[in-house]
Amino acid sequence: MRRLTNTLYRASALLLLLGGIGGAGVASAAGSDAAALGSGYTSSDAPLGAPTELRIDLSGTVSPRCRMTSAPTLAGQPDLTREGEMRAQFGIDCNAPFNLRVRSGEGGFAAEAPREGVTRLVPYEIAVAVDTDSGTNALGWCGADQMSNEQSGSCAFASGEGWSSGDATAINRTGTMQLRWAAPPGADTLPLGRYRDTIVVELAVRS
Amino acid sequence: MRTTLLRASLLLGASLWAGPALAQDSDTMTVQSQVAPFCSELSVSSAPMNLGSLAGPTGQLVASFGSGAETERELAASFYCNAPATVTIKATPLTTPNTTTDTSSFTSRVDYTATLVWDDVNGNVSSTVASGAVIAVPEANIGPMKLTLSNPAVVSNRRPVAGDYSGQVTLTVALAQ
Repeated sequence: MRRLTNTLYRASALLLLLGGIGGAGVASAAGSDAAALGSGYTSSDAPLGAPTELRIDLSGTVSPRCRMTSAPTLAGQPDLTREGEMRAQFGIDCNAPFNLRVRSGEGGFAAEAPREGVTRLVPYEIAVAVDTDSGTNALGWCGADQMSNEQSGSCAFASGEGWSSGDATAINRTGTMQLRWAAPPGADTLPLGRYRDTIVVELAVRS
Repeated sequence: MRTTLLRASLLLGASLWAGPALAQDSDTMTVQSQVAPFCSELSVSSAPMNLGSLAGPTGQLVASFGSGAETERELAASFYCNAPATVTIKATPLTTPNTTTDTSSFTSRVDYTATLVWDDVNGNVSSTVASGAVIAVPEANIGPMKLTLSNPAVVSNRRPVAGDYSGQVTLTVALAQ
């Protein structure tokens, strides 16, 4: 009987112990669900992905160019023994505002074999007209002596950097050059021989 | 002494009877979490996309950007959003500070079309549309993202004036929340 009594006491003590464990389990289950995720973490910590903006820069160029597409060519040889006029056309292609300058190498028709005591130069004049994308510009007449390197004078297309097109461009346009000269004072005052001049047309993009 | 033992035995019997009922008890614990909407990061080289020369030999606008131009750029090899999103694409025209008074013949502005392809989603916008365009992405999407520039255009077939041109494409990826 004593053995039974001792056994019952032990069983009761064991039941009380089990009851204590069961109560603790229920209390834990009734706590916060978020606690089960672990400490230091909540769903709001996840990256929310703010709007992303990306800028891609673009670049391109239109290169400035200015060139003569065809050189001025006279139809024939000027007859300097009489008053005359000749015309020549040239092509230009400038996609940016530009300067046009015309120079005369000799300042007139120069005798290739000058003779002493006789004038070496036969004067002449040049008129230039330039067709631009904004219209035609007649630049007027200038003496060849004004266009020589040594003396540019007040010629519109020979002095300084030459004639400015302003804001105008001239893409695949034409220019016209006219030459005129007067008859020599006396027909036999002009020595026989070859006369020549070099006319230089300069085109440059205006910077 | 016998009476005490009997009471103890009855008490123990009741306790043993209640024991199995406690072992069968159940409770429910609800577990909640979420996957936040998210888009991967987007970054790209800061070097401009060089579209090359915009004018041809006649001075007119090129019909298409030149062969040496960078007309395509892969912005991401695998860009993703795990939720519906929108992509707003804005294109500002190519412009140069150089101007001319002869605005009937020349222009300082070159427009183009920007096309975005993101896996099976695509859309485009012209730089003439200042407000841009919104490309809807109705579901999670992942894949390469590529930008393409094409169709140079000017108003009334005007010639672009000489100069350096610059423009910009802006992409904004936003979750459709």
